Amino acid sequence: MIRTSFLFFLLCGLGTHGLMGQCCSGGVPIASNLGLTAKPGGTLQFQATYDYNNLTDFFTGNRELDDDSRIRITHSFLLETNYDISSAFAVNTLFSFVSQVRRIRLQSGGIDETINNGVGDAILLLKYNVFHKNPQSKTQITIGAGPKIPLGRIDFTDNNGILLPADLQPGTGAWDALFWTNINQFDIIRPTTLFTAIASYRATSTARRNNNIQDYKFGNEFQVQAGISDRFLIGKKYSIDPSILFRFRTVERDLIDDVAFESTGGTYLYWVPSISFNFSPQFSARAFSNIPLYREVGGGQVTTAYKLGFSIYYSINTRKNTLFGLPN
Amino acid sequence: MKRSIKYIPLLLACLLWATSCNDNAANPTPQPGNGTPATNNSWLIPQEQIFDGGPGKDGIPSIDNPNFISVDQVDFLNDSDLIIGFREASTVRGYPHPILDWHEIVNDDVGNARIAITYCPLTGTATGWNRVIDGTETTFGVSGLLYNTNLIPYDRNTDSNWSQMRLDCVQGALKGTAVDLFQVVETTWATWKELYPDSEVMSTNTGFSRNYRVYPYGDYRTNDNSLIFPVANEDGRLGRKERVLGVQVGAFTKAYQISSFSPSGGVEVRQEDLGGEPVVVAGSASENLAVAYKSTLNGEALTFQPGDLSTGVLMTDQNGNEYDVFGYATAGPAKGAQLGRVKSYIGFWFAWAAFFPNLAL
Repeated sequence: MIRTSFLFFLLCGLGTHGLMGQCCSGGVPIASNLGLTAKPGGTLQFQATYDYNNLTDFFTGNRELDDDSRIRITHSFLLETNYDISSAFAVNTLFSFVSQVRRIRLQSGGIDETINNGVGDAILLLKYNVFHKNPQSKTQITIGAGPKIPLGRIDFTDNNGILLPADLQPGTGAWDALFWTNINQFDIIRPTTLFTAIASYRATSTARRNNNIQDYKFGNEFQVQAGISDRFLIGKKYSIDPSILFRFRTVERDLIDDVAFESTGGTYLYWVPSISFNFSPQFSARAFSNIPLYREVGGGQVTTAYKLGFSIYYSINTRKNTLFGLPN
Repeated sequence: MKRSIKYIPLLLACLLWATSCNDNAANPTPQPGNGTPATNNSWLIPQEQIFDGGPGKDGIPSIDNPNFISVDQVDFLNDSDLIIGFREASTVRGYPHPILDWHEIVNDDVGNARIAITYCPLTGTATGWNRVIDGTETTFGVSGLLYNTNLIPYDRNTDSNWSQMRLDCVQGALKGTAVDLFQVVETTWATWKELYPDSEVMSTNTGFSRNYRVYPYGDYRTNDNSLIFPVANEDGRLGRKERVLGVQVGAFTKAYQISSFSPSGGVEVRQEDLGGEPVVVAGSASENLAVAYKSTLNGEALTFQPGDLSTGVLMTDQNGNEYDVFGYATAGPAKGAQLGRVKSYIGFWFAWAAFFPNLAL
């Protein structure tokens, strides 16, 4: 029982934190932010994340060009909730709000800046805990699938009434299918050491864009993030979880009327250092970064120079406690 | 547990902050450049057919200080690559497509000419614009906007937006002003270096870091199924990416399929009457070349015969004059004279059909 409680505590503080996602051609980095893991039935988990993606590195293929005249910044605000209906099944949702900035240094001097804000797309995921009958297992595998719901608008215009391009719209306009899995292996070096891996595949669909004249399909996307973390106590009450992960992401090119659009898609590898501070088994905060190790893009694209993020996590077991002081 | 619950307000406050931003429309900050701000924001073209291409204003940087090298020094072009040529008096300059694919506009001084080479890789159109407008010199930049998937340059004096294929200003203080065209020609690098071995060629030393050996649009220029933005009109008489020379005389527009000119080799000359104007159209499929000029000189109607491009002669007339691709008489009694210009430039068929529905072919 002590052992089980310890693993639960570890998961609350570490494994539950979403492994931060990507930007940005698909709108908001939502697919890879699904990271809340399985808990005992009745557990309600919340995670709020701020994700800052600085895209200033201009690449053609895998070659970085010496050009810092263009900056793209994406601020994403994500709210993820996970309710464990039972030890086997859970329902996961993720809502997003995104602010996108395009900033260009004009050749005649000055800055041209375009900013667009809006509610982004959402995810509804049904998850299944494969080893739910064996809560003592050192291995936890959760699988999930569900739709990405196109809540975000795709028809924002600038102040002159000109439709903004697809990658400055907060939504994708398309219903996508998302397949997700999370593997956790506990006690790999010492009892507090955790190996974790999250993989997702987003099978995209087509939306009508550009005044409903063209079909636009963002590229299918696969990503996996894996690494290890450990826990160190700070005093008697608190603990920290440093982790080192690697994130591999590959995105197919977007299609316009079924024809590949050259300057989209790519393959990326990032180093993802992070640290969590655990106030309690139910409440923690995490800071993270994404540092690119390898990038190869289709055509010419500005791509992530670095990402920073911060998230806070809270969980409650609705069958054992009152929620926000209210009776169940 | 109670200790944890006290953090709930903090969590909720963060969420409230994250979602309280207005769902406001984009907010481009007007940047009129160094000159007079544009004052007329309405468009001469349908606003709903204008699209933001993505890179943004100056996101595709124009070349404002081009450098030139000799033909012998060029090592970055293949023989089939296209080049835009301009001649001012005795100075002949070439502007290669592989560089312009990344920049779209070159602001250059050639002799007394203040020229902007404007090139749209999405419509395959290249034109030479006089940068002196109403007596004031300006430079042009890439606005990042597209109409009929065609380049919309902006001038840096007034921040006015122009349509490359319409050849006029479509928004801003200069709205309605027509482009003053310079004559440019396009052909292959193989042909150019044979025609003008002493010409100056724009070098890849542009001041920008780009991979000029890579075409940035994949198979776009040959794939007829590929259109990145919508166009107002489609015409199935030719494949979308078929290169044509469009000629405009008054309200009359006709397109000439370059691959139809003397497909077995050499130059073909066509004497045309376009909207009542006698015009000569000369082209060569093998050289990927076509030009059009008025077929009168000093009031005399001329009859042309194909020349031998290997000697630099595009065509000859009944008076024994020889003409180069820029329409200059290089030999004969009229040596030094230039045939009158007609509004013409090369582009993809779909673009001409989009801008000029029902044009003649």
